[in-house]
Amino acid sequence: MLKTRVIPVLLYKDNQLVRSENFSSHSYIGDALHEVIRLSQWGVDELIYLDISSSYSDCFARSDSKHKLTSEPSDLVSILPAVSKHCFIPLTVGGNIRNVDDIQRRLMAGADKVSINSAAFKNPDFITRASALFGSQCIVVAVDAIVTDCGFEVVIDKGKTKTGTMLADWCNEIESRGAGEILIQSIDRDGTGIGYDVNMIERAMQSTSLPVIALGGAGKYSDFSEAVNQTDVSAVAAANIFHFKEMADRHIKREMLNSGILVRA
Amino acid sequence: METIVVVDLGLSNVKSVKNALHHLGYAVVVTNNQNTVASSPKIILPGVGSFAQGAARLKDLGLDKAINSAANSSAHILGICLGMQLLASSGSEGGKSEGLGLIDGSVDQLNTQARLPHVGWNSVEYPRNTQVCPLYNGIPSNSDFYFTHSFAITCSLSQCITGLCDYNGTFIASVAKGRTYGVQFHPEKSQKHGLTMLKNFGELSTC
Repeated sequence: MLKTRVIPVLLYKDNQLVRSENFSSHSYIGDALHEVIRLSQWGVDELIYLDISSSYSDCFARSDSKHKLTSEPSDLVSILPAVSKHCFIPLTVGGNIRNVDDIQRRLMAGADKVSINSAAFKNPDFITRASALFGSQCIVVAVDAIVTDCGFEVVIDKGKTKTGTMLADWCNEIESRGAGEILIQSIDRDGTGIGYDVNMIERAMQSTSLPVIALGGAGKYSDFSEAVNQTDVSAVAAANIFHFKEMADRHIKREMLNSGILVRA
Repeated sequence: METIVVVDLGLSNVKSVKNALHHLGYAVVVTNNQNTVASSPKIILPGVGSFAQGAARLKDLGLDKAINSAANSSAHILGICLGMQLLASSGSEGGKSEGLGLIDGSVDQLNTQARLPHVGWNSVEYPRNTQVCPLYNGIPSNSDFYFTHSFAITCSLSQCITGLCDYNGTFIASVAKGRTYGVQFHPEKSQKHGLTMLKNFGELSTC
């Protein structure tokens, strides 16, 4: 049977690996390439690499500018070839992906899948096009959400803009447009270590028949098994715990196995 | 060690396959040139995307003839994911199209109630009462490999089946006929066992 996946998330900002809390504070934790090599030799099942640098083009370029931007100084894509050379598990790359050219660049540089977020929300046709061009298997749509009185609301632009759209409706549309997976992240739980938002994950699982990856809030090894046992989520992802605890993957998977969840040994 | 030719249909990340082969010490040529493919003794056909797309690309590039020609010249061929599916006679994804016809069978959507695509690590069991396929040398039965697909091959001939997988229903994980092999999973993304498999493919004698 299919195993539940355990996935570290590396946050890349301006040439460094960072940790984040509630999508706002970021502090340096290590060398980008070294961490990928270390983690891909562990028993983790995939890697997700998110570029949360401020986009170069946000700072400088006008869309009508004749000056062509060449390399971006804090561009994750430029280190991807070196990163992917040592990575024999699937590598998903996300952050600052705005169009099919951005996707193409990342796939050519070594990514196996890409994760698209705000650009997909602002123009859902992007999902349809990307899936048709590159295959659904390559396209993960990331959804960031917060808890409101009405339920779970989708937020975009790295947590800055509320959309008024509810999680269930957006997940529905993502699926209809041909994406391969949905990555659901709780902004409220990000970096807190208090556990996954199982209600949010449950909502996502109910509103789509695509595989769902949960992210946001994992702090103890038992948080992973709790999320899976309560929601049957396809994969559990986390950032900080993998950077700050040695052999986290083994402890997490042992907990999951002990609670009856099938994981890759 | 001989050079392995990786066929580039422009439909997938051939870099992952190339990285894995380089890591194992093989020289790799990534190409869509008909002559290079037709004359190569060892070919890998990767692929991601729909069967119809893949079949059209093979035809447009003349690679359907080239791969068949290579097969007739006793080349070793390994199809990965969509590449494996394209070895079949036909497929229904994206509209009915013809495959390479190297393995007797058709490709249809997975018959399962579970979530699709089938994404993640799942175990491959070797069929009983048959000799283990040489690609699995050194890999125990029921080892996990990485899958990401919604379609799978069905074979008319059970002797072509070299690996089975369970996803709320059994489907064919790998096939072989003569020197043509196909795996539904991604060995280049399946860490230790995947690298072992690629090494086994590389070591198959071309005599």
